[in-house]
Amino acid sequence: MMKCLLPFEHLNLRWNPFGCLPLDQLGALALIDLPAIRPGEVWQLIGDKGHGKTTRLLGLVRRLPRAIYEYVSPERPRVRSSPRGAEVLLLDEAQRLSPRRLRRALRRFETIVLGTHEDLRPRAGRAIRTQVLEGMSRERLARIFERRIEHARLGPGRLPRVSEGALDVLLERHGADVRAMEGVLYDAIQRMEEMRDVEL
Amino acid sequence: MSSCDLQVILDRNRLRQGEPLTGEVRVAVNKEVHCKGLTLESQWQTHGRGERDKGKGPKRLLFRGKWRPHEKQAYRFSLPTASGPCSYHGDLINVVWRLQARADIPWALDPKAAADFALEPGPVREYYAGPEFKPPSPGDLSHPFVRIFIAMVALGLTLLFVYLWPSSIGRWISILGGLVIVLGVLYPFFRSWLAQAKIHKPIVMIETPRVDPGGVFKMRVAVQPRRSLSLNQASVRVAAVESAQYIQGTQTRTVRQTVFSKAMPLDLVQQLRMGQTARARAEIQLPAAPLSFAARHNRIDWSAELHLDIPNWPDWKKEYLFTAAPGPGFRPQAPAREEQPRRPAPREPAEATSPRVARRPVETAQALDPVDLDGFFDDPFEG
Repeated sequence: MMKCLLPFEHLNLRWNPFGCLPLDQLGALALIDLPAIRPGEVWQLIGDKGHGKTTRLLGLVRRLPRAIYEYVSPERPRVRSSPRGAEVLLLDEAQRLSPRRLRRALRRFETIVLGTHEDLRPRAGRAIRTQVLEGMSRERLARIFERRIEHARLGPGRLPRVSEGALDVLLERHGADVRAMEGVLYDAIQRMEEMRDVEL
Repeated sequence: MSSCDLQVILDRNRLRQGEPLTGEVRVAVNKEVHCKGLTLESQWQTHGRGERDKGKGPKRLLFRGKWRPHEKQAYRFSLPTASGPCSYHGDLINVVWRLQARADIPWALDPKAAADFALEPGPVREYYAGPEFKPPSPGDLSHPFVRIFIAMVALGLTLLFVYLWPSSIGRWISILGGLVIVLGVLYPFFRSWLAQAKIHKPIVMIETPRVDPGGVFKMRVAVQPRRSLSLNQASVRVAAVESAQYIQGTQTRTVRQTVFSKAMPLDLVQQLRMGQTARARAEIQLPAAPLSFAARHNRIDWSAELHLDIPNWPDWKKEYLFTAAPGPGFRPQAPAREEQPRRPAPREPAEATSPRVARRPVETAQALDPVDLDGFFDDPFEG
């Protein structure tokens, strides 16, 4: 058997598309399905783990002018970003902020998008528009995976595709938890020794 | 349109360490430009389940000066290959190399081009196994402290429940539960301690703290029982484990996978007599890959676990780290990648860890265990 120069050359891939990606690349691949965010608005994206809150926020930071992304750490749950030089704050894991700190952030920034596991309206003291991230269509899932695979393309020619049967299996097993699905697909790609569609 | 287009062409894209990386960089100039430096740099990167790690190899300046429009230039180069890490295709971790050419153009985006190549093990004076790699050193002390801490917390919670629970049955349940947790957490200590009550502490010497790719791992063991007994089994298991760390939502997680594992029974005398020393030697052939590797988020560890199965008694087990890496005398026999294990054992489940990669307690490969038996052995490995 001829040896490949790169580990996934036989699949026309530069790397396993479902492995860990740097955050900037993750943002570039994000499918944003939110209504237009207008200046002065506060939005919250509510969803469980793996439902795409961080990915959407990372996608927004690339698309909105003068936007900054900040992750609220569990050790020091506070907002460190300054409104100077930024008009939009994209705050991930915002449910970790105390009501006081959340209201302070809402006062300082004109436009904010919050990624959160829980509804923050009761502690915000300000009108918040809400987008609940739940459910996943097969078409959207197929597009998410196609983008990941295309991003790992090595050269011109055919690429593996996640089969429709595999998409159904993933939706049935994992609902809208894309992160869990990526773990399954990572293992499937590792096992593939020739170019074909990904089956489960 | 950029001021110039670059192309990197390698004479060979699969090289062993020590061989020069040769080829040429071709430049097609679109408009007159002053190049502050056309540099060539080899770079490695990991990809896979963990966050990506990367590093740089040798670098060379090829040209500095003015390029005229429609000029086509070719610059031959010869660059030494890096002392590591070697290219690798594993289950959780991959290491890849590329050679990047970059033209530094003032006040413009720097044109770049790159070519992939595979770096295979060759003779090197000192192999570079990644930025976080340290040759095996005395055992990981944090682990026992963590266990003792968990045991103390369990004990504290037990006492709290006993104090708060109104009924006597509830109190007994808490006491029993607490004891089970404490004993479970501290069992590895008890096991070694109990085993050593029967066989003393075995003396272990790793003859090959560094093993060449595809080389032979050698280990010697000497055991002297405190009383006559027969061992059910004595064995050494050599294993290579990939560990990849990634951030998942709010937690840093580590996933591990054993990519090579081979056990060998030790030729220890089954019937050990009190006061007599039983000696054994293990030699285990290793595959050509993986090599030891340690970066911030990804690592590959090689270890040997000695296991003495004492009948009706806790077993004696200890793990020793060693390094798989080419040395100056390494003579490659077959291409590394053909001998890589293709289908590894099932993955161990991911577990939440602190930012530091949690590891099982290990003991240095080079160090002999301190022996508290005066005059027990002069040379325990010579019969």
